[in-house]
Amino acid sequence: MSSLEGIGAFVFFLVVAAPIGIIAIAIRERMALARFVRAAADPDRLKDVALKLPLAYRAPATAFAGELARKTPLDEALTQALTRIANTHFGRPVPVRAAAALVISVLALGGFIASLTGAAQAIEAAAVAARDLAGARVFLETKAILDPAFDLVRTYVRGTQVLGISMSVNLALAWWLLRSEVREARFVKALIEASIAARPNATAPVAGRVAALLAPERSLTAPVAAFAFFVAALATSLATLWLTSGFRESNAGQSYAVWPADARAPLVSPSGMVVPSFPGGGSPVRERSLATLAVGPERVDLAGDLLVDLDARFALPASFPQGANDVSRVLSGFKRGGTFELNLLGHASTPMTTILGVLMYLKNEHGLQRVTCVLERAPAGAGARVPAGLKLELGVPEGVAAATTLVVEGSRVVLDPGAADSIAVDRTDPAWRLRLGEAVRVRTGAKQGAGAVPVIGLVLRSTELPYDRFLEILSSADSTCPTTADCGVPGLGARFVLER
Amino acid sequence: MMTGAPLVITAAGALGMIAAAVAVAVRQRKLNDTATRLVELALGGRADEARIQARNESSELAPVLEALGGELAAPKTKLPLITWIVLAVIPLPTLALALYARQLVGAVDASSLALVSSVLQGVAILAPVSITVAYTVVAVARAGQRSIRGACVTLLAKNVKAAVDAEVAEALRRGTNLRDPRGE
Repeated sequence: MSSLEGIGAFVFFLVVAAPIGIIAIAIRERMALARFVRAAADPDRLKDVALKLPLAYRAPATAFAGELARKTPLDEALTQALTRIANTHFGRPVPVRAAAALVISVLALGGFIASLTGAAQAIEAAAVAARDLAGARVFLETKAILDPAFDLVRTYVRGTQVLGISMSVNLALAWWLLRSEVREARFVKALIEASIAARPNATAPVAGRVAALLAPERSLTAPVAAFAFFVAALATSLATLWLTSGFRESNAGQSYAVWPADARAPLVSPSGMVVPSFPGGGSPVRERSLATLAVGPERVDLAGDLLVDLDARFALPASFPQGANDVSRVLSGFKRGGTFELNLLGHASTPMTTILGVLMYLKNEHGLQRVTCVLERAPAGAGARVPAGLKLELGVPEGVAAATTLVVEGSRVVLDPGAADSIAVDRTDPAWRLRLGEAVRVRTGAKQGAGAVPVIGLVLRSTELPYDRFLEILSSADSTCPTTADCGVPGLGARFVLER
Repeated sequence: MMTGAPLVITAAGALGMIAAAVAVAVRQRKLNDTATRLVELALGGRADEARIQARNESSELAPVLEALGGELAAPKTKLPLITWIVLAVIPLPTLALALYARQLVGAVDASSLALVSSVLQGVAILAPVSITVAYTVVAVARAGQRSIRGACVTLLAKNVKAAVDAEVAEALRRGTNLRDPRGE
């Protein structure tokens, strides 16, 4: 039997068997006391009936029957019985009840305890699995270990809530029918009825007054206090739910507030520029020593200086690079060993021909090696949109081999075309982003290992593509988010190598 | 394997709760024994001595003191204050673990993972212990409440009998044509 089935059986016991048991005990006691009252007219038989009463009532009832048989004055016999019953402890002794409470709470919380222990072990296993990993790979590798464990915790918490409600109902039922005061009152009533039946003409002033003093209170104090407690408990529960709603919402939405809050590069997009925004991929842009290349919507600027003006359709002049301003002096401050890299801010509608034209000019004329294509993301906990960067190498560096090659052609993106395991993703498919991200993760992980920075070859066969669609493909390939919503986790940190 | 602050909170919390339950039980047993002794003294004809001793005892024995004073009223027993205090303290270790875990949300160092794992194990230990201790403390208090009530009822029966006897004697002294209600 699995632990879930075990919990199911225990729930069945609590919801069905336990209330029936409590009600059955109360009915049995009532019936036994009714038999005791009926037998009171025959004192010889009363003792035998008293001996068949439930254990807690047996001793005072037997003593009362004995006193009646010995012709003891009724007042004295009844007073003794009342005193005896007031000193009777109904139910099991406290140590037995404490042991039963321990067993029941362990049984009731067994699944919850096991799921918490399982989650703790999963965290330790995840820590071991993540030891040699870096970046978003840690998230990807450990999520598969942690998610099932915490799903189980969630399941058992819900099960435990049902158990808690059942146990509360049973406790309330036991309080109503079986608590000491109720049993005592039930027995006092039976004793008085038995006395009337045994000696119809006798008086019992002492016992009568004692019984009147011991009669249960019938004021509204207890119900009002119980109602106030219920309202307070409900208010506390609602307040707790309200205070923790943020956690639950982020858990339900698979959104994690892990985007680094450290210093970001001072990227300021020119007026009118629409920076592409996507819900996944890209890494925090931290490098502050890079110049920024801004392409569009009206001009191309490098580190704030005009390189060239664009026409109304974001295209470079036909004569470009002739007529472009000389940026050698500006770039000299950013070059290291003859090469340099840039942050690239591109207007969303700029065609890739314009972007590539500028990049190839800077590569051929000034030694530009790579750019960080900047997109915007809105990760949970960051408070606002944050810049995320995708590394794009302009040509294949020496000694670098791509783990997979991404070919962009029209509305299709093909991974490793010509290979036996080639995959084509159509961008008209609503789930194309998730499919592309998963395919890239699997391939780069298998070929380069989970700990390495993925290197992805890039072939553009459709240069009329707008810049935002190009970045969408790159961010999807780099994304680690399991859904189409922004999960808040940085991308794989892939290096895209522009092969053609 | 548990480690760090969660281990300390869990161990101190569980041991503290068990110690509190034992202390409540020991204290309640002492009170019950005192109540029984006072009743025996009173029934043995040394009611004044019992009353003097009861005055020096805990306020929880106030109903017994009232009954020793001959009061003809229903015993007013209630759960002792210490029970409510212990019940209020019982959830604190689990709450402390929850607050500690709240601090760990967003931590990025590897040692935090061991602490988070320890927090979960701590909750797994404290949950059943808390429920058991809470139930035990209430059961002990209820049993003690019943013992003190029993002692009061024993004394009350004696007081009522004395009052009825006095009323009858007074009626007979005045020569009222009253039938002795104790007759059958």
